[in-house]
Amino acid sequence: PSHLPNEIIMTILSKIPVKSLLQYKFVSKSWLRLISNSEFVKKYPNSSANDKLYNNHKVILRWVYNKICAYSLPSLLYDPITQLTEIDYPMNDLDIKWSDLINILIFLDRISEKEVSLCLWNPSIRKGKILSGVKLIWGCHTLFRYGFQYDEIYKIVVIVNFDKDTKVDIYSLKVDYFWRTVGDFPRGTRINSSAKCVRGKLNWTTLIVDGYDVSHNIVSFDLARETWGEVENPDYGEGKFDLSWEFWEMIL
Amino acid sequence: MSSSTKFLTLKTCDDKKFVLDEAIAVRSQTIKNMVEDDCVSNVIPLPNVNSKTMTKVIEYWKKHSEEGVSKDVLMDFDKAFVKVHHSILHALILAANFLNDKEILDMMCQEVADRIKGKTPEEIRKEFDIKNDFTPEEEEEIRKENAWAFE
Repeated sequence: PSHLPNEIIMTILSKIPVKSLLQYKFVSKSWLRLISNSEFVKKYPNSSANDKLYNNHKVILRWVYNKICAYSLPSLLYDPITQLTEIDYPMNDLDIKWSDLINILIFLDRISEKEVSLCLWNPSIRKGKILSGVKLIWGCHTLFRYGFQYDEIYKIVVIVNFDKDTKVDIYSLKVDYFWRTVGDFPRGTRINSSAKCVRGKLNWTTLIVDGYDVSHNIVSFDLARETWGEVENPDYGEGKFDLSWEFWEMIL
Repeated sequence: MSSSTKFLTLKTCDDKKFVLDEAIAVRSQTIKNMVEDDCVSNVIPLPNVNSKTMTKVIEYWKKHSEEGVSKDVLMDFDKAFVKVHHSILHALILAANFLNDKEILDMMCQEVADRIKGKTPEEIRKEFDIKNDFTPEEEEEIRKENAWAFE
């Protein structure tokens, strides 16, 4: 048979489930290179549009004592008995956050009494990365983490609420170990909910404390431009209230 | 659009000629570009495609250009179309790649993917005529790293 060019082999492999792909690394050195190649990773469909039977979907559970287990979604939906697979992961975890935007786990890994570093872990290929340039102080403030992908760059946003202020750091995975603080977050504002991601923007409800006056706001962060904005508040009417919200995307 | 049908002549690498309605032939982006750039003389040479493969491609193009064909009929046609020996499958992929016909290319790649799903690395090597160039040590190394995929 005639040999197919690499580009076509990549197209074919992009239609194969992840688990089979890992076996195909054995086929030859050139296949190993193809599958590990970042060009291929970009080509691989991460969207569920190509996965109507949810074959690549897993339900991940976290157990006490840092045990993580996974169910296969089709098995959970259609099989009378579902097998639970335990996932070994290499990190000494303190706190896990699943980032559904990029399908990776974001860990906090304790490196000393007070310091933690940030780890990313991809359960599909069981590979992780410790973001060694990043050190956070553990325990004295609220912390939110988000991962997202923009323009083939993976970014991790970490938000730390101090007494009065909020600090936002961004870690970008394409530019090696690039970690910096994004400015311009309105002073005296505390983020008080987990973010909702809408069309490339993260949105939070915030709490502004001014003496005895407490007001709420919605702020948004543009992931691509890394700029802050405010979303106009709806008219809430009179009286005291606590702001909670949900977001639904209308799908036609 | 002009009312008279224009015909193009395609010549495959084994010197067979195919006369085809231009409206159908431009399903190939490669041919379309040639037509638009006005560099079509009498015969369009297709040095990478043989007549056997081209016959299959034209069969597909004609079916998918017919008017009033229902989706179900086309689906059945496609299903039968991909049921070929894998040497023909590969030839069709190469032809679709050269002709730049994304529809055929994608369908054929999907068929190859469906055929190799769940096969062992050894079976894949046979299918694609690939030599295993790993040393046993290297193979062991990757196997360790990906042990769970073989559970």
